[in-house]
Amino acid sequence: MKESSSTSSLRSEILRLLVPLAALAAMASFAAREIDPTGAAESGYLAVLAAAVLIPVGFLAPWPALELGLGAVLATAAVWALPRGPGRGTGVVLILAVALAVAAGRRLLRDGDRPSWRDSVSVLIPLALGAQALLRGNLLLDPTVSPRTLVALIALPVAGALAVAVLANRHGLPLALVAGATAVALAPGFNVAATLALIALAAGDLLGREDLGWPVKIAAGVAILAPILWNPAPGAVAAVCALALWRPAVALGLAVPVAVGLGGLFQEPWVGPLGRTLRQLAWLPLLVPAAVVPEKDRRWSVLAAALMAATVPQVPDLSTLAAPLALAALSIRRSGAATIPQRVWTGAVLSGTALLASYPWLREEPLAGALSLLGLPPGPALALWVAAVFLALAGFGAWMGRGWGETVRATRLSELAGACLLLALLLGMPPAGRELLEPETPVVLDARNPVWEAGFAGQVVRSVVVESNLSNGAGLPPGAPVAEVRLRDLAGRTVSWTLRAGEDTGEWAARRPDVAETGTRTPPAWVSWVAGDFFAQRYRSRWTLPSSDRFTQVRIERAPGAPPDLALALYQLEVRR
Amino acid sequence: MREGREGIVHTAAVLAISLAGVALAAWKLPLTPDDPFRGTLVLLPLILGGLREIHRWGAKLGGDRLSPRGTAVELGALALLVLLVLARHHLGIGNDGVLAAGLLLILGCRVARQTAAFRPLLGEVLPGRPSALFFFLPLVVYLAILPWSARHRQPDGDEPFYLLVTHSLAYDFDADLKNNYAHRDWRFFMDRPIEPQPGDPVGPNGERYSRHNEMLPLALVPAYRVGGKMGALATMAALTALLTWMTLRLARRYFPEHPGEALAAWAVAAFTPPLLFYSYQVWVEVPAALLAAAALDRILILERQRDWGPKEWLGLGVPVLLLPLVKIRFILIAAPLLALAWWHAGRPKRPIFLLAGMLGALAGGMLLYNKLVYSNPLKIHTWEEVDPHRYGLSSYLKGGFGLFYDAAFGLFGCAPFWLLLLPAVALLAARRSRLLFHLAALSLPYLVIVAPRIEWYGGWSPPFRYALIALPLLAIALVPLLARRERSGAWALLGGLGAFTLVLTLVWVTLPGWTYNFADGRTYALDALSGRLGLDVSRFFPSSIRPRPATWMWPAVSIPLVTLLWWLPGRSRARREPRAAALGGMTLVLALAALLPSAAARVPTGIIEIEDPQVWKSGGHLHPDRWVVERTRYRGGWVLRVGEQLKVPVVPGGRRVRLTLETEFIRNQPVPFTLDLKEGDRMLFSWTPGRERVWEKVEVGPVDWRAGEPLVLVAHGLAPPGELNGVILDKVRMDWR
Repeated sequence: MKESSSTSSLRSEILRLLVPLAALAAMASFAAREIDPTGAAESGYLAVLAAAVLIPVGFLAPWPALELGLGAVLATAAVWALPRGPGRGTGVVLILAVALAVAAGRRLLRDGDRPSWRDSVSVLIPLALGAQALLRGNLLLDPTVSPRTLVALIALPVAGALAVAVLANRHGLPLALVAGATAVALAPGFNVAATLALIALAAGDLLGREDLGWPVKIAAGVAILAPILWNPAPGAVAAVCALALWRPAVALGLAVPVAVGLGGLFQEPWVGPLGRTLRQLAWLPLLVPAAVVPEKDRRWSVLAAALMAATVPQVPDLSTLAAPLALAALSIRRSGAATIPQRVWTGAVLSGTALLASYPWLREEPLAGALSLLGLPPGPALALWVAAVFLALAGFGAWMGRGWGETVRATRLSELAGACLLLALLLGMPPAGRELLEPETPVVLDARNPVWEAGFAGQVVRSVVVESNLSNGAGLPPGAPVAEVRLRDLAGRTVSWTLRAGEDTGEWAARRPDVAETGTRTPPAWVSWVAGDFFAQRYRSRWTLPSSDRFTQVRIERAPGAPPDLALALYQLEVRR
Repeated sequence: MREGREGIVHTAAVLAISLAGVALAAWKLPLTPDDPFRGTLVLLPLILGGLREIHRWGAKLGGDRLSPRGTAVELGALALLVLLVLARHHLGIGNDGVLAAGLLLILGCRVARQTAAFRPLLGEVLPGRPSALFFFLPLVVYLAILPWSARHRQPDGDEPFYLLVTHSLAYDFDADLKNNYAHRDWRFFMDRPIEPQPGDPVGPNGERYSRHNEMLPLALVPAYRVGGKMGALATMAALTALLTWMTLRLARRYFPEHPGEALAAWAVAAFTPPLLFYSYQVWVEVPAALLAAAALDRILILERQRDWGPKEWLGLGVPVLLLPLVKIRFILIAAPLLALAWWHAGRPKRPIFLLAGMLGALAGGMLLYNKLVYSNPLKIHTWEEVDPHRYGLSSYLKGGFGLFYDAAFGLFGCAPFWLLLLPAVALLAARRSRLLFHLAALSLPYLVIVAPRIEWYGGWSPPFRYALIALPLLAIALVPLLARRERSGAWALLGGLGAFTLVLTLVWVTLPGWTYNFADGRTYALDALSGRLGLDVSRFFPSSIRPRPATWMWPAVSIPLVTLLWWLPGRSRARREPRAAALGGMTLVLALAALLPSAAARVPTGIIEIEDPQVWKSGGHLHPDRWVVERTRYRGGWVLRVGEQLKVPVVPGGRRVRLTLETEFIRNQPVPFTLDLKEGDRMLFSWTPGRERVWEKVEVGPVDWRAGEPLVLVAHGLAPPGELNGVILDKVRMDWR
């Protein structure tokens, strides 16, 4: 029987839907009876998250959709079998991400690089919905269906997917996916800025097509201008980028005054104009290194993209870079030597971002966090490294193209790019430390038990990492000392570090509505967990000693002047060489 | 020829590079020596090299090539997981099991693809001698899981004693363990001290011998001498892999026309529990099963040629004579093997009588030796114990069903995929297959002795221990069934049971200790579930150690249900694409899982086993101690002492109930003692025991019962210094009106 007829049968469509629903029922049934309320809340959240990802997987996976069945069974088993906490969240998210990736990969391989419009849409919409559920999974904590949730979880990804499908029609699915993935990694997910940027690019692309009638072109023109209504400055950038897909030279001509205007209007007084411009421009080679070797007829587009990326104001966030970076992605050279390393890189960046954006990490800036895993913060230095490695790979790929078959070259070049990435991640990994606390067994320092200490036999220590949070610490002023960390050496001398609220640690319930209203300042959350109807969080801070020394004891003492009801929970204490 | 030599050189080079990678990883891997992943990651280059060469040789010998894209995806996923392993402390991933399960899934994916790629190697008719790759693939898998398993599970049951004998043979060249116990030589392979077992013989000069035979330790000695405990375990992995190869070879004697299905059955035997557990443990059942399979294979060859040469003498004689030397009870396998040889080889008299005489002499000699050394021909057992007449039908049923259905020790409990044996056996019976006859002839005399015993479950062991010897034939029994998989019901069963088995395999391999259940009618997995739900989930699953309605209902329902489901026809569209039903089977498994917590919360409480985890206890302790030998001889319960209480969640099955408490009073002080039975805060009955150290039934009611109230038991009395008075609480029966 042909796959197409099988996939379109009513029976298969029902099964595709039944599997995620059965998984949801199994996990929800477990959550409803779990006696630990925190565990039950987490189980319930993971059940909804799993269903939200598995339903798109069901409509994405080619028949017989084993990845759907196995993903559902494994996710359910993880919720049932694993104890609550970050480990369980990680397990479920990894299973869901793998199920989505396998389904998408198999489907894309089946459909080829130039699928029909219908096939593109049927791939991209479920893929976008699944990715959105992972990237914006925090929205699923509130089980009530509100227009905002529906727009964020369904309307935006569907619109974004349709825009990418339009781009795929002319540029091919791989490049359109790179452009879409780059835009999505910035926000992360399909937010208004990223989606409008993709829609504008798609509209610009439509304007360039000769076969379309004037009503479509008028609608496309309106779509190009729409982002300006939403937010004038990034909207203008999106419009210029969209125009570059139709009239590259005109767009470059427009980009210069727009860039000058944006530079003048949004220049931050405390950062030099060159520094800011370089910092912003660095995102281009950082996320789309292949743009350094553009297609010959697209050089103007890349220049326009570079001008816009360097000057667009990042308000509200990085996603205003979506249009220029996606434009750059659509302009790269169409040879395997350039596109394959770019695809590997974009996939890795999106995977890392998705991982850090999803439960239990829920990082506020997951893209920056993912890139920092390479050992350098996102910026010109890292961009230089990425571009240099890319050029080396592209050069090697071009050399391979002389004697190797296309399939073998693609596989080998992908593996080489993956190996480079792996090596970079290994090199960027911080040194392994010695953990002094049992995982997921916090030590609480309060007024009754204000001190915790541990000995270790003369270990060389270069830095100390503390993972902690505060209870009843919302009222503390930023910078208020909450504890003192002391290291004692062999001679009995001590060095100390003050752990401060809002800088090194923070309130565990900072995201609970009543606490959030007070505007309590906290450092970026390290790990989050479901605490009823909000995400609780804990924080991580590192204290680097002036020089390595051999110490024998660590002692943490709650600050004597701290409020009586303040409690400091230590989740992990790690001493590193 | 030259090509083959070049291939071997290539393999040697790859393995040399892999070994260099192992050395490099051991030297530079940024993991502490006690990190649970260290062993796995150090061995990873060798595993990758092994899998690469298996693929290369498979393709060279005519097998399919694996898709490079699939391999790239596997390598990418592996790289991601290795990174997560190395960075797990920096990312706050607090559960190592998740990452271990991920690594196992990647291995499973590779093995599934490679197994499918092996299909052309078997041709249209199963070859007489399958490729060595069918040995090497399981071996690599067993070696891959070995470091994790060995790190997370100490040798247990008989294992430490076999290893200590191995140590003594390897270093002292004798079997006297006196010095080994004195020097604490157990520390070379475990952390927990061991002592001589009750009944171990003592020599005239104070020598300490083990009651365990030396045959298996002798086989382990060379590897133990080279690689210590890991060397011995690697040898067991090799023996297990050889058993799987022999299973495939044996399949030709029965169903040569189904190579694809034989390949699937081989994969089920090799890569699912219980054989997967035994691959990294020291149990005599694996070499015994290997010897039995080798002997049977030789017997079935004799059927055609019927002339006896040295090959036949060795091929049959060696396994038959080695079996009792491995363990004396295997004489019950060796004797039927001789009978089968006589039957299939054209009833020759001389060779069979000679072998029978040798076997008899060997058995007699062993019994005599045991009588002289242990003062008991059966070592620690009695003739009554092995007398089949001594046991009633219920003992046979409990043990017989327990070997397959028991949630803790049964084959189906550890890997539900084996439930397919139910329609498979029905099919064999309908076809009057000789496989069924061989299975019965080999297993029944042995199981008649083993199954009714009080320790039918294997003592202190992984599941299906005593019947493991039949596993090769059980796997082959699946072949004709898998050949008839064209219906939707069959695919639904394959999908549902396969997915469930995959999940359980991940759990068992990730938490190897969970396969060593205590003989108390519970399992680690169900206890964890009951504890998290605060509900008695175990009562829905069969246990032959603690018989309950589920013990009998599961066989009664599953035998017809699974058999009928396999033959269930689909609708016309489904008939064209029955594989779609696999997804339906997985949906069914999920739906049944969804029902379980609700059922536990709604089905009325009938019997409460007080020691179970869903019962909240303020204090007290388990009775008898979990580690007591032959624990099933005791009534398991909970000791509640003065001042302690417990609360039992109750699901009412009516408005009134009659309670029957089975308890024993322990008097440690000459002071009064009472036990209050309450419905929440409401007093139902206050029991003052009259007799001590006697099991009594305390009956209360019928009384009214309010929904949502727990049953509370509180121990009262004076508490002078010293041991307190208390009661052993076994169970409460609730009869609803």
